[in-house]
Amino acid sequence: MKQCEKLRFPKRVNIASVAKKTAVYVVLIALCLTFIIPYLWMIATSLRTEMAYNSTGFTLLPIDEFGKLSFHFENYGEAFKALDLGTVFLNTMIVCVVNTAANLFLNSLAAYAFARLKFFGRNTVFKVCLFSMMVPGTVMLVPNYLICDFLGLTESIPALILPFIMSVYNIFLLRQQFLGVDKEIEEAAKIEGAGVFRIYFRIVLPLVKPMLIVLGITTFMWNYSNYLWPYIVNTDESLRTLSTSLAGLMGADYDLTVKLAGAVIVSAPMIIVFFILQKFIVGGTMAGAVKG
Amino acid sequence: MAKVSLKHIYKVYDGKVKAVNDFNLEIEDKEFIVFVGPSGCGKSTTLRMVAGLEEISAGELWIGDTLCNHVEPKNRNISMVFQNYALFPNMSVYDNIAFGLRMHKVPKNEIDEKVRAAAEILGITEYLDRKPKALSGGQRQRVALGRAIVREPNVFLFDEPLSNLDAKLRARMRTEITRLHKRLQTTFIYVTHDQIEAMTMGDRIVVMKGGYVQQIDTPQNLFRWPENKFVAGFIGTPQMNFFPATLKRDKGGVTVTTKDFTLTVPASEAYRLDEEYLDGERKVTLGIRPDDIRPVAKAKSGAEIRAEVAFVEELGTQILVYANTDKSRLMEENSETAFCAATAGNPGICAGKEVCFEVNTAKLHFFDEATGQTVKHRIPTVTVKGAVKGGKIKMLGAENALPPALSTKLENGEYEVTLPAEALAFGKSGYAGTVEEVDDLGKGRVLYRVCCGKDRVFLIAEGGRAAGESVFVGVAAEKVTFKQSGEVIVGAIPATFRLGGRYVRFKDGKQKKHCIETDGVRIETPLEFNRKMYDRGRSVFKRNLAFEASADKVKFGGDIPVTVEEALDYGDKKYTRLRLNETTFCIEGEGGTNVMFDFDDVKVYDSDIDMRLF
Repeated sequence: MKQCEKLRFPKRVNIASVAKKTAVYVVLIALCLTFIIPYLWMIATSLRTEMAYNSTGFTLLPIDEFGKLSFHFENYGEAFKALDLGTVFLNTMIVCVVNTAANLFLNSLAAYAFARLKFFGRNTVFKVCLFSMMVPGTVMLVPNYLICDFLGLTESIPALILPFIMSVYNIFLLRQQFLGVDKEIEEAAKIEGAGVFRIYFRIVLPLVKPMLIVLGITTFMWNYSNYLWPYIVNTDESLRTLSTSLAGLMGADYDLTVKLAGAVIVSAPMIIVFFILQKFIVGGTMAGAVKG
Repeated sequence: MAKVSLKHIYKVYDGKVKAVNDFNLEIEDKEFIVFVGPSGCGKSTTLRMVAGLEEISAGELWIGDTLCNHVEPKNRNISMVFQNYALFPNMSVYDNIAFGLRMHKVPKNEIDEKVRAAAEILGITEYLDRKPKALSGGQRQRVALGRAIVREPNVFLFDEPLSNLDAKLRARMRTEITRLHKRLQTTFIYVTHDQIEAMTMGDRIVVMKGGYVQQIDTPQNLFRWPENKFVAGFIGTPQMNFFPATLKRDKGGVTVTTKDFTLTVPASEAYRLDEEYLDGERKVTLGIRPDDIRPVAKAKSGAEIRAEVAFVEELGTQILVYANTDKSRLMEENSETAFCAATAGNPGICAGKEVCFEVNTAKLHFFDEATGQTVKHRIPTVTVKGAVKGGKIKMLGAENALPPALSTKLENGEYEVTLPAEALAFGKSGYAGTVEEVDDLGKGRVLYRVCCGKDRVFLIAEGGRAAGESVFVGVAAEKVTFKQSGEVIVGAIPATFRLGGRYVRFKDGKQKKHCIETDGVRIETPLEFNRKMYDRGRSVFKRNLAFEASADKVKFGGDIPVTVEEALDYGDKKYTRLRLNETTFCIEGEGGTNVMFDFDDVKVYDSDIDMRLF
């Protein structure tokens, strides 16, 4: 057999296949650059002086007006002050963490109920929930504001949390995940003596952990970058979040380099989170795609 | 340890699709019961109803002394092993096994002791720290078994636990489960579609098809006495051979005629055949097990089939010979002339050769061609000739006086007298005879074949009599049917009767009352009966129902008006035939024009979907 293998003719290079592969790589690299170049430009510019920025054209390197590399971190100091980062970061973290935790807990409970519990009108209620997904979020701004105003919640941190504590999208995705869990596992737990909540917390929830992580990250990110609602509901500067604070910085009379430093500061935590949790994001998204 | 009783269990989906029909079974303590049948026959659904994972549509499930219809699975003290193991993937083997004990708040040191003991029994001690994904199929199944045994439940349920394993491992696990049953001495209910598993493991087997129980019996009895063609074909490997045939009674026995061969059922077996099929015209299906057809040089008994061999399978200890009596259809496996014969030795048979096969005619099976029901019974209903003259009947080699209920109706002449086994009993007087054969039916019941005069009769009694012993056989005249030329002259008194009708509620003044309305007659129902009806939901008021009562539970008295049709004097017992509008029925006793029902005994059926409600 080995003799035969040695005598085989070498495979011919398929030019069409190589060309196809090259074309795909070119497109992918181009797309990648489209996303990454603005960010690299933002970082580079945030490390330059205003004069250097005005005197040279487009560059991805932090160079001065003479073309030499120089790093001006003072922009970041100025941006820190302008953003009032301490208060704003704390507000943002409270909103993001509380909302994400409550969102995952309540939505997974609702999703489990839709997936497994038998109750009157289950399918109808679920369909109504799905229908509400079709209503654009912006449309809900006015009713949400009026309700918050009625409840006396405007100009407060809870106003940033409560309206978004339930997410039909999250319920839908989690329900699909719960439906994918082998029913026999739950039945086995039931026979062994576990009640509904015990089954939910001890058996089912750990099995959908990747999806919970993905939804946790996306919910956190959504809250982190939510701009319009905090802008509408809270005008008090002490209640500002990173996004509204950054918007304020952009509109203020600061150098562009300082504004871009602010943008880097605000975006950095999310980028770090992405790199740490990227395997869950990719894995979880895939799991959701095939199981749902 | 517990007995499990399934009483008239039904599972109906969406009010119309019946998955399980009238399932009745008494499972003894420590018994190993196997539910077997093809996919979709309702075996797993029944098991899940026992487990509490499926709601019971109708009927009663008793575990021990507790009615479990509405008891939560965790409170039934059962354990279940699933087909896909159903291990908790996020927990270690130890935690999987300990899960149930933790749920029941067993102290930690006791949990540890029990988990390690179970792991020791199943040989999985070294895997206790592993997660299920790091185990092989067999090891996972052992963990599932460990989780089941550690709680020491009253009943073990197994839902096709070996079907995901390869053949070798399956055979090993089969032995392990049987050993486990012997060790634990607990009730086991095991579901499988594999008849070999069923035959090798079960004390008794429940064969199911299309949601109906086909037969419940021991493996040996299922093999020897299948009640229908389905059971006969399903139990036994290779499968039983079937041929279309007709039967005709001859002097020496019964002649079986098929397209290509003729056989004779010996007289000793011919008694078991239904008389009505022995006219030489009614179509039956002849069944012969491969073990009962042997390739021979020449059949000594004369019961032979000549056929051409299609192919031979050598299985080591056994050789299977596939042959066909019709040479032109040699390769057609499912033709009506093809069959399989099993032999132990190597008879030097090869494909294409014409061979003589000898048939064991004592072990032939016969089934009605249309219904598939057996026409050869283990407990046969015998029909004998009886001559009535002057109020006396001569049959079974003796003459006895007829009771007045019969003497007034039976004119002098010859009759075909049908004697079911339950109509006969040993007594101190009656018809003299000799016990010919004794067949132990189990549970202290023995079937006797008694020769009275020239006739043979079958009766069931307690043991204690031996073959050759002289006995007297008494006949309960009310259970006997007299026919002339196939027409029933006097029938047996039915044990039950049915009234069709509805369940209604009405207002009597300010009081709300309930009754069953049958043929315009309203019979008021007692509170306990009403409770049972209400348990079945509001639909009971809308459905067409049938109410079944035992004749011996209906008594004279009460307030239900009836018309007396006739008094029936059977000597020791007196009966009265009554009419309630369109329905006639007989009850024991005499006198009175009003009767009362014992509503504890009344069974209610939903006529619309043919389902027993309770």
